[in-house]
Amino acid sequence: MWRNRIPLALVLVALGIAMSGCGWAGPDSHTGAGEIQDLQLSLSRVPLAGAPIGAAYAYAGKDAGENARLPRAFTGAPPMIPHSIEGLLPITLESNACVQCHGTPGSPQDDPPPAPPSHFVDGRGAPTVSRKEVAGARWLCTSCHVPQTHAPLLVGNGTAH
Amino acid sequence: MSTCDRRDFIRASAAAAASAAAGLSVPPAVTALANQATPGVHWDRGVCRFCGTGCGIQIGTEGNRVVAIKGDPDSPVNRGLLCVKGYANAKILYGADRLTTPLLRMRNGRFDKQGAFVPVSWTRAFDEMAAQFRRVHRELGPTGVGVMGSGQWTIQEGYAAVKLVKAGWRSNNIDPNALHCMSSAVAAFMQTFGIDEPAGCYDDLEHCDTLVSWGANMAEMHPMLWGRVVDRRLANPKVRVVALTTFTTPTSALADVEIVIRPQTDLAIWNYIAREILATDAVDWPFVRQHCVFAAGPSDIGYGMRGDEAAMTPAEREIRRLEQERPLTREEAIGQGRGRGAEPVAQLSRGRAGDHWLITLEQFREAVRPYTLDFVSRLARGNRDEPIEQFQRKLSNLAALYADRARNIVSCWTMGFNQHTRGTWVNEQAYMVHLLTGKYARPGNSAFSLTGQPSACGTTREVGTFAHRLPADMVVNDPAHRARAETIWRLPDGAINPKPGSSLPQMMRDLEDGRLKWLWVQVTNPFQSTANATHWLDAARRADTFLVVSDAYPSVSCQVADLILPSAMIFEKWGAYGNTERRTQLWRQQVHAPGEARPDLWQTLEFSKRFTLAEVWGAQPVPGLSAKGFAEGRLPDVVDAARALGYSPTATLYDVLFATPANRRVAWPDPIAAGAGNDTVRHLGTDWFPEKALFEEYAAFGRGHGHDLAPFDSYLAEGVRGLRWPVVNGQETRWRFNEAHDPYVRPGTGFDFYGPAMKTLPRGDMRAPAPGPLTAVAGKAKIFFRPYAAPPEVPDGTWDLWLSTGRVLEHWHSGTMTRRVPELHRAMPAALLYMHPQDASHRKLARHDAAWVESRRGRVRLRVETEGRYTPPPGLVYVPWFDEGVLINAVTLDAACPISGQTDFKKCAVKVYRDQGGTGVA
Repeated sequence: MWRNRIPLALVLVALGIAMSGCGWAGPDSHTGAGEIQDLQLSLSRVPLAGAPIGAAYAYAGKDAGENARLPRAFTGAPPMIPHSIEGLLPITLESNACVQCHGTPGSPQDDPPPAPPSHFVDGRGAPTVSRKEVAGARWLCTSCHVPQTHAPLLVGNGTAH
Repeated sequence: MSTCDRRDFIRASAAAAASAAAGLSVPPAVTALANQATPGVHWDRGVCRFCGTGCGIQIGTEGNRVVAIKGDPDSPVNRGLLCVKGYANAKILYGADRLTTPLLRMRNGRFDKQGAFVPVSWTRAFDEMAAQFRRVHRELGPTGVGVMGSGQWTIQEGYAAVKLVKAGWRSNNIDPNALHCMSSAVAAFMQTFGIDEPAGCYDDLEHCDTLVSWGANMAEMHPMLWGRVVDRRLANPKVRVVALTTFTTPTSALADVEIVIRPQTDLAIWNYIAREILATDAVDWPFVRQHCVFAAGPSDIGYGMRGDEAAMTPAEREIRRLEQERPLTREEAIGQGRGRGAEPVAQLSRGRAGDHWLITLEQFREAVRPYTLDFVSRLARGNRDEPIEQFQRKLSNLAALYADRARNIVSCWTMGFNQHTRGTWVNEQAYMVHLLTGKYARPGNSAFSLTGQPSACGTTREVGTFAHRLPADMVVNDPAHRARAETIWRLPDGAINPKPGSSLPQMMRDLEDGRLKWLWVQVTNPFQSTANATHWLDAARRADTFLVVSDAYPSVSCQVADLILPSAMIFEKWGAYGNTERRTQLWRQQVHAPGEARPDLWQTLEFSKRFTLAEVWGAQPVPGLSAKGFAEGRLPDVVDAARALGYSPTATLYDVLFATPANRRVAWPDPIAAGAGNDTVRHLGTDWFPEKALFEEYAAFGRGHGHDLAPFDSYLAEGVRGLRWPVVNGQETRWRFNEAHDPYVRPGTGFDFYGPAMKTLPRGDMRAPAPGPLTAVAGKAKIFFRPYAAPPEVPDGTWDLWLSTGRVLEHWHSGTMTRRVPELHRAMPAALLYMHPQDASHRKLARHDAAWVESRRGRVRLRVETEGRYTPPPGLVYVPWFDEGVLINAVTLDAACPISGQTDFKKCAVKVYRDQGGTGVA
C-alpha cells in the first residue's frame, strides 16, 4: 500500500530537508544529485495519508493603517494588503470598506495609499460610468488585492523578494 | 486625500462609501500610465494560464525571463484587468523545485517499481517508457494503455495526443480532466442542440438586465467576468443579480438576492419555474412551435458508480448497492409521478442513460404539474433557519424574473451543475426554461455554462480529446465520422477503433482492476483530483502498472509515478487556448524552459518516433468490440492497406501522423514568429513548424462544419485578440443559431438549431419510448423534462453533514503552480474546514481547532474556520481541494452523472470531529 511504503525515518529526513530550507531540486541543483525519495516530491513532506496539520495562521499585520506597505511582486503588480481585513468583508453592492480609505484619488505617497487613476476609469478608458467612485469592474477589490499571512513558503520562488 | 480615522474604520458606515467622490472625472489619458513602456522589457500578448474566462494578458520578458504581467487593455474579455492569479502568470514559472530532468524509479541501475527516483536522460526515459508500453501492449492490446490530459493542454498538444492515441495506437483510452469539469455541459449541449458549446458569448453580460448564478461562485472562480457583471449592475439600478447557492460566498454578497438551497434541489426549482411559465402563459409560443420539440428520458439510470464488487470496503458497499436498486424518497416519487415512494426502483436503464424520445406539450405540462411552490420550497430550502415564507417569496420572485417578457436574462453556472449526479439533466433544465421563454441565442438572453479551465473548450471539447470523441464534435462509434477522420488523417479504412475507450475515472478503475497497465498523464494531477482517491493511489503502485507523469512541478501524481517527465510551461512554448465563449487565442513562445524541461508537444511527437506501423497497425484484440464491419473483439490488420497508401511498415508514427508531407511544407522559421524561438522545433531538430501545421490540419475538421477556425496567422495579427468561432469569411460569430448573427443558419428561419447529433428520435410517454417510426427534428432544440432525483449519499444519523468541495480565488486546481507563488500561498496557505458556528460548537470545535472530516471512504485533518469568506448553512461544510496535505478527494464519493460520466464533487455525507491527538506532523 502506498501509504505504508514510507518508513518514519525517511519522513524525518525529508522534513529536515524541508525545514533547512534547501529543497531538493532548484533549477540547477540536479546534476549528480542521486536518489530522490517520494517525500521530497511532496509539498507537505509527509506521506499522502499522513494528515499533516500546521499551525493555525492569521492574516498579517495590525489593523488597517498601522502597517508598512508590502513589496510588489513586480513593477506594476497589484499591491497585497498589509493589514487584516477581518470585519471589513464582505464587499456588497452597497458597502465597500476598502474604498472608504483607498477610494479617493490622490498621490501615491498619501497615507493611506489611494487607488491609482486607472481605477477611476472603466475598461474602455472612459470616466467611471457607475454610480460608485471606483470603476464597477474593480469594485470587488479582493479579486486582485489579498491579505497575507505569515505562513512560511512551501518552496522558494526565483522571483521572490 | 481625506484621512481615515483608524479607530472608526470598521464601524464606518456603508452610506458614506456610496456618497464619496461623486462626480469624479479622470481623463482617459491616465490609462496610458498602465501601459507605459518599461525600459529593457519586451512585451508580447498572451492568454492567462488559469480559468476558462480567457483573459488577455501582456507578457513582459527581459532576456530569458518573464518579469511582469499586465492585463491586455485591448482584450475585449477583460479590458486590461486581471485577478490576483492572473498577475501570477509570471511567477508560476519560477518555483524553486521546477522539474528539470526526467526522473525514473531505479535500483542498481535498472528500472525498479520500488526504487527511488534517479535523474535520467530523455533517451533513457523514452527507452523505458517504450519498453513498458510494449510489455503491456503485447499482453493487453490497445486497451491496456492510456493517456490522461486536461483542459490545460494547448490545442496543438491535445490534437497531437488524440491523433497518436486514436490513429496511431488505435486505443481510445484518452480522456481529459475536463471530464471532472464540464462533461455534463457537453452532454446537455449535444442532447439539446446536437452540437457542443454555447450559443451566446460574454457580450450578453452587458446586454442582459438579469443575471442568475446557479451554484457558481463567479466572484472567485471567474473574477474578471464577475467584474463585468458587477460593473453592469452598479451602473444600472434596474439590473437584478440573483445567486442560488448551497452556501454563502463572495458572489452572494454582490447579488441583489441570495437563495440558499439544499444540495441537488436545483432540479426541482427549475421545474417549478417551468410550471410557473406555463401557468402564467409566459411561453414564447411562436419560438417554441417553430424551433423546439419536447423530450424525456429514463430516470432509473443509477449514479455512475462501479457496479461490481472489486476493491470495496463494507462502508462503501452501503452506498454502492444503490447503483442497482434504491427506494425513492417521497419527494422523488412525487416529482417523478410514481406515487408516494418507498418502493425500491431497480436502476434498469443504467448503460442507456442518455436515451431520450419525443413527448408532447401536454405530457410535458403534466410532468411539471407536481412542482408547486409549496412542494418545491419545502424540498429546496437550504437554511432551516430561514422562514419558509421568505424562501417562498424568493422562489416566486425568481420565477417572475424568468417569466417577465421585458427582461433579458442570463443564467450562468459552472461546477454546481456540472459536478452533479444529474448534471446533464440540470444543464438541460436551464435550456428548458430559456427555450420556453424564447430567451436564448439572442443578445442578452443566454443560458451559459462557464468552463473552469483555460482550454476545456478549445482543446478537450473542440479537438475531442475524450474517449468517445474525434475533432469537431465527431465520435468514434459513428462509421461516417470515422471515415471522415480517416480521410483527413490519410489512414487506411478500419484503422480507427470503433469502440469508445475508458473515461478518466474509468481508466482509474481499469488501473485498479489490471485492465490498464500503462498510463501517461499530461498537464493534470488526477491522483489528487479524482474522487475516492485512495483506490487510485493504491492502483498506481500495483506491481505491473507503469505510470508516466509529465509535469512542471512535483505533484501528488508524481509521487505515485514510475517515470516523471519535466514539462515546459505556458510561455516556454507556442500554444493556443479556446475559452468559454468560443474565443480561440494564440501566443508565441517567450522564454526557454529550464534545464531539460521540454514542451508536451515535443514529448508526444518525439515518443511517436518509437513506434513503427508494423507494431501497432497489425490485428489487435479489443475486448467487447462489436461493430458493423469489424470482427468481434478485434481490430483488423491494416498494414497492407497502409502500404497501398504509400506507407512502409517500418515507417514510424512520427512520419505517418505528424511529419507528413503537408505538414513539412509549413516551414520554420516563419515570419509570424517575429523573433520568437520554438523549442519544439529545436529539440525535434527539424525545419517544420508543428504548432502551426497541426493547428491548420486540425482546423480542416471544423471548417465548413460549423466550427470554422481562422488561419493560424490571423490570430496573431495586429489588433486581433482572439476570434470566436465559427469564423466565416473573416467574421467571428457572437450569437450562434440566430440568423442575424450566424452564417450557418438557413436563410428565412430566424433561428436554426442546426446541430446534427441525436436529431432522429422515437416518440414515447414519460416512462419509455414507443414502437413506431422515428421522427426527424432537424433544426430544432429539445425542451427536456427532467425530474427531481435525490443524490445517492445523503446525511444521516452517523454521517450527518453535507460536504461540498471546490476551489478558492488564490489557487488553481491542485495548487501545483499557485502554491509556489509567494503572494498566493501566503494569502491562502492551507485548506480550511468552513462550517457554521452552530455545527462547530455542537462538536466542541472552536475556530482554528484541528478537526477530522471523515466519510465512508477516508478522512482528512484540517483546521476549522467559522468566520471566513464562506458561510455554510447549518448542516453543510465546505473544503477546498487545492491542498495536497488535506487530500479531500480521499473523502469524496465517486458517484457521477450516468450520462456525462462527470463526478459529483459537491455532495457526499461526512462526520466532523475534534482531533484528539497533538498537532504537527512528526
